[in-house]
Amino acid sequence: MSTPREEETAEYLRNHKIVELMNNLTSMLFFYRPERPKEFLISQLEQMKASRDRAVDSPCLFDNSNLDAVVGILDPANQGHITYAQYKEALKTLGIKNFNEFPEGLESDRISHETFKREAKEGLVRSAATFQT
Amino acid sequence: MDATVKHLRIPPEMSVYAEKHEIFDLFQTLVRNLIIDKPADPIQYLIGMLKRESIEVPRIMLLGPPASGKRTIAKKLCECIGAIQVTASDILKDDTDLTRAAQEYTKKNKEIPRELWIKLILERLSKVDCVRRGWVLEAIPKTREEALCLQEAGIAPEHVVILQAPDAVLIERSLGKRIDPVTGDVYHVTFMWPESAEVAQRLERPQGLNSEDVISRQLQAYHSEAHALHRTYQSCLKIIDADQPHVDVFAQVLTYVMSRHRSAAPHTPRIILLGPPGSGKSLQARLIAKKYDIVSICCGELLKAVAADESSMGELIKPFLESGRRVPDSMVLQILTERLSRLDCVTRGWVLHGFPQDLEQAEALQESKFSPSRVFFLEMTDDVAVERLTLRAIDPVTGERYHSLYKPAPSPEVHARLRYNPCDSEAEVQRRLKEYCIHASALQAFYPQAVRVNADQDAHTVFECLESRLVNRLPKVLPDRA
Repeated sequence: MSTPREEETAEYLRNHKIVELMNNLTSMLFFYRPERPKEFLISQLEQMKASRDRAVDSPCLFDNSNLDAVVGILDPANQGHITYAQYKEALKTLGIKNFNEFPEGLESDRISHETFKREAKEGLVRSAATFQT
Repeated sequence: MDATVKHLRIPPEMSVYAEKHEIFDLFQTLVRNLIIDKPADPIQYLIGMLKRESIEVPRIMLLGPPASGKRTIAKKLCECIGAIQVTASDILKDDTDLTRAAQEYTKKNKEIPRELWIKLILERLSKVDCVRRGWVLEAIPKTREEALCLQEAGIAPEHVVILQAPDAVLIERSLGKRIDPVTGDVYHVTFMWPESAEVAQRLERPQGLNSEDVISRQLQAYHSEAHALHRTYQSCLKIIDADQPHVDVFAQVLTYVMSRHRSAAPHTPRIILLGPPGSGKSLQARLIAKKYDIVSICCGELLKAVAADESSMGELIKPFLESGRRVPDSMVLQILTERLSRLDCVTRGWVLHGFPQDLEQAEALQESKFSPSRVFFLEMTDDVAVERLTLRAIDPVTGERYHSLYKPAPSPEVHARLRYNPCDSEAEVQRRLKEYCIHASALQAFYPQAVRVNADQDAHTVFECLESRLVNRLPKVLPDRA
C-alpha cells in the first residue's frame, strides 16, 4: 500500500539511481576519510558530472592495480587463467551486476586474466555511473 | 576457516570518522532534500547544496496567541542564531505578481485564498537568504489546513515553539501594546517601556487592538485553531509559558531551538565518567553498562587484572602497583588502548572511569584513536565524599556492603565483624580528593562539551541525568561572534 506520491518518489530515486549514487559516495568517503568531507564530495560529484557529459570514467573505488591484486589472489600459481566459478564469484564480490555470463574460454573453463580484467573494468564503470543515462 | 565466510569487520576508524563528521545526518539531509525537490539534475543539485556553508539551517515556527510576545522573541532569536525572521506582513510587503494579487483581495476586504497564501510563503522561503541562513516563521501557519498545505509543499519545521499565557494576561498586554513604527519593535506601557526617549516619543497604538472584546474575539479565534495545530506538529513541538519575564522565555526558546532531535545514526557510545572519589563513578558505569549492553572499564581494576595474569606487561607494572607508586602514563595508555581495541569494546562501545586523571593523560587519549563521544563530570562537595567513603564497610562473611549512616548493619554481631578498607581512612580520602581537585579544572577546560551532573542525589536520579544526555544528541553550538 503506497500513496501515489510515495510511488512517484520511489520512481524518482530509481530513475536517477540515487541509492547507488549514495552508496558509491559513502564508500568513497569511508575509504579515503578526507578531513573535509564536503569538499571531497563536491569534487567526486564534479568528476561524475564530467563523466556523464563527456564519457570520461566515473570515480570508482577500484582501479587496475586492485584488479591485478584480485587476479593474484585467484590465481596464486600464476597459471594465466582462472575457472568460470572463480570468475563469477569474483565479479559478484566486486559488486558487479549483469556481467557477461558467457566470457571467452567458458568451454574450457579457463578464463584468461585479460578477459577477467576487461569484464571487471567494464562492470565497475557501469556500476559507478550512478546517474540517469 | 574460509576467509569469505568470516564476518566482515568494519574498521573502527570508519565509525569514528562517520560520527565525527556526522556523515549519516549529512546523507540523510541530502536525500531528504532530493526527495522533496526532485531536481531534474540531481548531481548538480547536490553540488550546489554541498557548496553552501551550512546544510542544516534552522527551520523554526514560532506560534502563539496575540500579544504572547512572538515578535520580540522572534527578533531576538534571529539575531542570536542568524536566521531570517518571516512575518505575514513582511511577505505581503514584497512587490511581485503574487503579492499584487494578494493585495487586490485585501483591498476588497476579502481574505487571501489559501492557495495563493501558501504560494506566497513558498516564494519567500525559497529566496536565497532564507535558504542559506534558515528561517523563523512568526505566527504562520494560523490553521491546521495551512500547516498541512505547507507540509505538502515540502516545508516542514525542525522546531515549533508555541507561547502560552492565560487570557487575562494576554488582554492586559494587548491593551498596553505599543509599536515602534520605524523598527516594528513591540513595547508595552507598563511592562516594557523603551529605554530611549526618542523611541518612546514615536510609539503608536497598534491598529484594531483597542477594545477588550476585539481582543477576546481574536483570542477565541486563536483557541479554536490551536488544538489542531498542536496535533499537527506534535513531534517537534515545545510549549513555553509566556507569562514570565521575556528574558526567561527567550532563554527557554533558545535552549529548545538549539537542541537537536534524536538521530537514527548508528553509534557506539564511548563514555568517560570523571569525578572525585566517592562520586559513584563505578556504580553509574555498572548501571550504564548493564542497561545499554556496553563494556564498563575501570582503569585501576584493569591494571590489577593485567598485573595478575603473567604477561610481560603484567610483570612490568607489578612493582609499581605493589609499592603503591603511580604506573607510568605510557604503560597505562598501552594497556588501555589494547583493551579498548578489542572486539567487544569496538562493537558495543565502552564506559571508562578512573582515567584520565590529569591533563596529560586526557591529551594522550585524545591523540590515540579512542576519543570519547560523551564526557560526564559527577560533582559533589568534599564533605559528602568523605562521609560516603569513610563510613562504608564490608561484611567479610556475606560480602554485603554497609554504610553506618545510609545502610547500617542489621545486627550487632554483623556490626562487630565489619571490616573497613584501609584506603577509606579519612587521611587517605582527603589526599585523593586533593589530588582530584588539582586536575579537575584543567580536565573541565579540556572537555568543553562535557556535561556536569550533581552526584549528591539518589543513584538512580543521577543515572537518569546521565541517560538523558547520553541518548540525545549534543545541542548545537552557536558560532562565536567575536
